[in-house]
Amino acid sequence: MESHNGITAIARHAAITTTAPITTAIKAANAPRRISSLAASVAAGKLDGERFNSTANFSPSIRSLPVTNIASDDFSVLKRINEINAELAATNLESDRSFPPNLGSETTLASTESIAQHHASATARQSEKEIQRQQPVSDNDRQQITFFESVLSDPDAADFAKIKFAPLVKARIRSGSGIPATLRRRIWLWLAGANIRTHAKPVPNFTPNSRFDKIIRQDLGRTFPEHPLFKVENGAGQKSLYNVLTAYANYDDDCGYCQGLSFLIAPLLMQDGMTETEAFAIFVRLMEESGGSSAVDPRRFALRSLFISDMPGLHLILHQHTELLRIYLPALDQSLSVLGITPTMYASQWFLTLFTYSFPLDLVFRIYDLILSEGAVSTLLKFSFAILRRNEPILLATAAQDNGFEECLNILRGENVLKVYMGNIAVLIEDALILDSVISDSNLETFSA
Amino acid sequence: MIGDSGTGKSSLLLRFTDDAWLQPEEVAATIGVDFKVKIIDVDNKKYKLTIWDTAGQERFRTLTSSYYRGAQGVIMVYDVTQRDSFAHLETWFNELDTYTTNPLVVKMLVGNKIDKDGSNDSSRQVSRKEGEAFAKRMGTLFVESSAKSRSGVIDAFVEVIAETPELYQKTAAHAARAANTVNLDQQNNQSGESGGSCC
Repeated sequence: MESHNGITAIARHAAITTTAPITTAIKAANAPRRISSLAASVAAGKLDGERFNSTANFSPSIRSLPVTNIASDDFSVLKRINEINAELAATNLESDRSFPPNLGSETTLASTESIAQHHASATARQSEKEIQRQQPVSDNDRQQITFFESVLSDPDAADFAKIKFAPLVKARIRSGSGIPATLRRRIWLWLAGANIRTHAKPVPNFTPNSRFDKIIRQDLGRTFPEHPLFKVENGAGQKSLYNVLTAYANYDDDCGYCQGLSFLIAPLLMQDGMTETEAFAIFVRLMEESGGSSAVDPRRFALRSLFISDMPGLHLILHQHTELLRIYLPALDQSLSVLGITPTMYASQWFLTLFTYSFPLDLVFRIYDLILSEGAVSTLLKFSFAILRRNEPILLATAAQDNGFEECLNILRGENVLKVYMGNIAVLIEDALILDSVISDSNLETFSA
Repeated sequence: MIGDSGTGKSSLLLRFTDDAWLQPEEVAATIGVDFKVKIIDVDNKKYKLTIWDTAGQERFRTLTSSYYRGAQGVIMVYDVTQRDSFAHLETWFNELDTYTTNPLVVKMLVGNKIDKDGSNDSSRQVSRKEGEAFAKRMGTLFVESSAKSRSGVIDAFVEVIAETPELYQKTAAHAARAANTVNLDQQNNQSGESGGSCC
């Protein structure tokens, strides 16, 4: 009897251990604006453990990075820079990729398989990976936290744009689960230079903006309407959102308020402890036209051009996305064009909301991490292109069907486009990050016509 | 579907395609352009509609203007409890005239949110007579609707089909195949349905 109980206890313990990361994943992922299939399955108790586990545990490139050499007690960022940069350079980041960056000649995942087979074999491949990548998550998380805490406390690291170890920080942000959730607010502020800007910081003016007050108010309840922070009318979240949007409309009269901006600010306000003034400061930095010119800080944000009158930045990024498809995914480009599907129909929402409109929040926060550490337009295009590329087999098969037009659009719109990842956002992030050589600010200039 | 932000375009469309109603606090604002397909029976004939739902804010028009091209019908929506959305209709008509390539495009004016009529906080600001008179002056069809109560919603879409000559009359004359050749978005309609496109 005792031994029987013992076994039960062990089994219970095991169950608790395996569900711990699941809970974390739910917290992170379970707050989209519409009731997602994800949330619905959680509500219905039909939790797919493997799926959530994979989201929480999966660390595509963590093994490739020299994370294990950093101990918390003797950690000194500057001392380690050269050493770690050397390790970084020596590390083959491209190893273990199921999706090689060689865009011209690769064989596509499912070109010779049916879609069903593709899904089945993808699942099998995924399970293998899971087994290979079993490692203590808490260690990774702890190391990430230690690293980013050290960065924040290092007096020489005051300005991200000027530090020598920026490549190391970028690599850390790319690895594992990115910036630890508990440090996201501080790291985002630091990356944006929002806490240390030498030029006069814009002081938010929360006076109601006569031109845009009505439409701002109208959209408060229509931004993340199912997220706990924003769903309560006149609740704390909606008030903060109103204040930041108002402050921006006052700050930048030409741009004012444009629909989409509320979706872009909301994820900033979702970070623990983020004040309206801080969110405003990060947001101003994201919108600024400046940046990218200096060799020291090559990050470009300049999101403002997407939202001003006539939306020139949006038309440009749509054009760049179109060109990338035409050059690197010609078969898909051709099929969609024949159907009459243009990127405006599915990607304008992605770019105008930085993917926040219908993607799970854990993915959204990772995209924000990358935008802030690497720049906005190139990051957005890496993701939009990676998503199309991963969906190419299913889109080509669907395009050939009777209702190809609407069926393809149904795949491309909303959350459906992520189904191919089976909940494993790490694969999407990996898909996007291998595109460095293809999609960079300098490469994109050739598509600026 | 066009009209000012917040007039209920997406809600009208959702009621029409899915017979569903979401509380205002459940609906996210439309960013860019949304899209739905609906197959509907009119006089025992199946019609397949491709409907584009556009964001209402003015600066989105550079994005949405391409959807006017070749549209067979346009549903213009205002909110009967918001005078502004009615006053802006002239601008929407100009917009339509500028971008539409189809001289026979069917225009339907819809005064939405009539369920709010009489409620305290948001009573009607545009009377049915005013709406009718404006529609008559502009030569458009007219319906008042409530996406919430279903009133007028199906009428708005069915009227557009019934008034679309290349769809309705030809199909009535069993010329469905001919209608398909004017279908939009290069869809190959192989199910014998007539296609139509609205925005």
